[in-house]
Amino acid sequence: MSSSKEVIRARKKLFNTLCERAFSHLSGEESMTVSLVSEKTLYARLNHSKIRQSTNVDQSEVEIQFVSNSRELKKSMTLTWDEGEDFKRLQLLIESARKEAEILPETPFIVDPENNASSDQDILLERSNNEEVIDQIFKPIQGIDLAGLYTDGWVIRANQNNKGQKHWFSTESFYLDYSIYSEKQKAVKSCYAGTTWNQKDWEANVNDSNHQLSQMRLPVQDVKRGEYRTYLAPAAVAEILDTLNWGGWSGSAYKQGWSPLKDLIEGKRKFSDKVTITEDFTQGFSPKFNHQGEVAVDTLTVVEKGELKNLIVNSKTAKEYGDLKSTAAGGSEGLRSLKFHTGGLAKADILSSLGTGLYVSNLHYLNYSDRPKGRMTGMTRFACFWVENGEIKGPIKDLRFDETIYNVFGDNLLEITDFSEVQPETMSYGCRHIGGARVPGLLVDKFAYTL
Amino acid sequence: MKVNARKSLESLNSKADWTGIRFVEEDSRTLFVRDERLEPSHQEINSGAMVEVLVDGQFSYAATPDTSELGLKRAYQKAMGLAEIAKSWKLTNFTEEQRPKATGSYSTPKANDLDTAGIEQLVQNLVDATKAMKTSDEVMSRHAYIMHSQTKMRYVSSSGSDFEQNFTQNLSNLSVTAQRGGDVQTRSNGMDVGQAGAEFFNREKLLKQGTQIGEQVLELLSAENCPSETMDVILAPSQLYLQIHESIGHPLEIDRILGDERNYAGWSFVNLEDFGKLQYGSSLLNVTFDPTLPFEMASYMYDDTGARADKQYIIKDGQLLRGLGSLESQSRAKIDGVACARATSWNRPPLDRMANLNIEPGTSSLKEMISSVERGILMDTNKSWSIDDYRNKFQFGCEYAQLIENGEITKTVKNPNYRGMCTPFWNSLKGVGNNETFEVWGSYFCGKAEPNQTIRVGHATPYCLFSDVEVFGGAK
Repeated sequence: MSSSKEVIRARKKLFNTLCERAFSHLSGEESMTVSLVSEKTLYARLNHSKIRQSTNVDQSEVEIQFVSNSRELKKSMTLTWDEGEDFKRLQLLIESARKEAEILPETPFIVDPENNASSDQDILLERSNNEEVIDQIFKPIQGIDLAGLYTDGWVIRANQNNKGQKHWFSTESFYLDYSIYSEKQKAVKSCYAGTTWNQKDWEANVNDSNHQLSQMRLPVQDVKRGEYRTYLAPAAVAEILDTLNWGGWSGSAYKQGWSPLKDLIEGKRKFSDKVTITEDFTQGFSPKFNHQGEVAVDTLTVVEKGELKNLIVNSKTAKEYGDLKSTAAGGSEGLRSLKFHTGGLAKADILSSLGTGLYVSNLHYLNYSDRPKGRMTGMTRFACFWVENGEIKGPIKDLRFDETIYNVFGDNLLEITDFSEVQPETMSYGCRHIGGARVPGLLVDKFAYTL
Repeated sequence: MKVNARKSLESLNSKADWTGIRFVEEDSRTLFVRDERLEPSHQEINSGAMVEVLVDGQFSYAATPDTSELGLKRAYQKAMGLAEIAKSWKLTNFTEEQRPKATGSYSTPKANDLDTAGIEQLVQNLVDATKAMKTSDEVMSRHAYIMHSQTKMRYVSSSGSDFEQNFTQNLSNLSVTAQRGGDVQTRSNGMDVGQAGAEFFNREKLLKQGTQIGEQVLELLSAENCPSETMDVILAPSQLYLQIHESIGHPLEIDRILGDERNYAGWSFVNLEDFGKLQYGSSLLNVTFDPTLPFEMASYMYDDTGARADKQYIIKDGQLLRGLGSLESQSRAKIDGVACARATSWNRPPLDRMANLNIEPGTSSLKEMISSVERGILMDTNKSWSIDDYRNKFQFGCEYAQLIENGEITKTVKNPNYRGMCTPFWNSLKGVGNNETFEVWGSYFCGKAEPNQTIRVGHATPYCLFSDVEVFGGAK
């Protein structure tokens, strides 16, 4: 059986060959970028501390961004890693793009491929059989009601263009995203992630969760709708930031009228001067290059002391609007490596600073209830507690909140924790996603619960 | 994808108790016109196979893009290796009964394929639709977006299954955003979806919708904010389809009730004991799982395990009868279900998914329902949705609403929202529209499961009237 390093080396070689062959068939005025998304992943879905479904996935897709005759088209196809078959398919794809470029209207604001820079990064381990971990997962969770997903494998992101620009990024990691449940269906959420499985760390992680679950066995507190002083733990803050990433920082979204941060961008509203947010690629969550191979700066300040400093902008948007500067963003102009800067609230002081109110570990299913005004709604989830005079009284029944971001990050923000936690990207729609964020907890006054 | 499916299966010489291969090839196109100009068009051709093995009561899966005999053999070995390890920790014992023999074929009824000439014409139609939205200088952006997917699925198994299904599914989304002062409003067609050929993208319909939303977005800029009070609500199908999806569909998925989804999308307030007993809604509520409506998004002959799909009442006269559960879930829960094991594509295993989940028409005309309301609101076109992980406390926002006073529509209001609890809400149903108010809607992008999957679903419904709903407007 081949190790991941060997397989990835072979794929790098074949991707280079495919690109070279494809570029050599372009005519003089044609240009093209070829992007690769590839993974080999073991997914084990768990329920009641048993395996519900287990799947090995080997999948790869290339996308061509073809430019000819002032037209730009994107086409993508599955790679089989058989050079003959893949090149045949790629040729057909390019040929169909060429034909459609003849009949479609001109594309506005095309950004022609350039050779800006190249990069090559492999963060890999010598592992050949990730299935061996499965047995180890179950040893410490017997007698516990656990549901979740074990994900293990490697991913590749790469692109090349016919001007000579080449980027390659591969990484190998695992995570066990899970929750454990009490007899009364109260739950605690956690995630054990890393590059090498360590049984002692896993057992410690489960023990921590079990300890938290014991607090969920306290009497359930009946909390009526209203405004409460609230501590939002890092995972809850990350949900709010995820929702804001849906057009909040995007230059294009702002120009087209659907940014939830319109008033912040226009300087009509401010966040608290405690809030500083950066896009920080030195955290290593994702590659610095975007879908066109453009490379972002290591660190970009987005919000500094409550004021917006930079929008997230790709080169197409920059070309269209003129007054926005490209930050080498991706197609959706979201933050790919967010860092919310810490404050001064120590972990040991969270409950005493909260005093009386709600301790919210997680939020769920957020959406805008008034997008242009930055108002969003969502639910509390997992380990959320009613706290009185700095003492946990017991878990709550889930509550719905409805609040504007200007209250949460602005007028009502009391304190930010002096620590932050990594929130690894665990989405796998279509393929295993990469990325993450580093986020602290927030103490907020008058957080509005509506149902 | 040119494969000899049966020969590929035989060449595995499988040692498993049961073996299946599901081949999927999908060709999807997206066209996006913004402000009368075509953005880069996109075509995705995605293909591969999922090899499934049943070993000692446990299904294990391996997905591969390589559908050659060698590629499938490698995937088979991966699945067998995984089954060997997983069987010590299996949740339940399955048998071949969860993979019944299925033969035959299904194809979307359609008149036209989307060829190159059709694409050229469609682009022009989308350009013209955005042109029709330009009703004022206050309009900031105009979008016309379509997706057109052709999916071929072939399934063979060691128990003799051999069937093929060919789906052609479509989405059309038109939207316009306008600004006046600090107020920004967006109006859309709510995302039309359905099974059909290229005829789905009818030029006259696109232009009519473009004109209408262009006029209504200006109407919204001039409108008052939605009042905050408890009142009667009439929901148009363009909103009600998502209410059905979130507060009837998901809570009735048996795998959710069994806890499979607890770590991600959540659990359900419904218990297995509720089937046959729970008064889910008022006696006017009749909900069916109906894979037989030819143009609805999720009409099919078999699910992805080979279970034959037919129309079933899920809720009858308000009473909960059966769940949305596959043969696997039915064997675990010991309650009735439907043929709903579906996978997003070749790279994911099947699980309980909604397909077409509809409210059956009633007897009221829309005019009669409006006339019966002393003070209420008619809400149209979903804009925002959120619900808790047990599928109980929901909140929805709509794009457009009209106040009803003394049995008549009096004025348009903006930023309408409402919230409530699942079964009290459905039990407040006091009017169900007749066939003339019945519309077919659905979604291209229902997310669920770990690893994540999206699935395409259909929801057809008439207009419905609910009493005593908590309604509110936008931020001050």
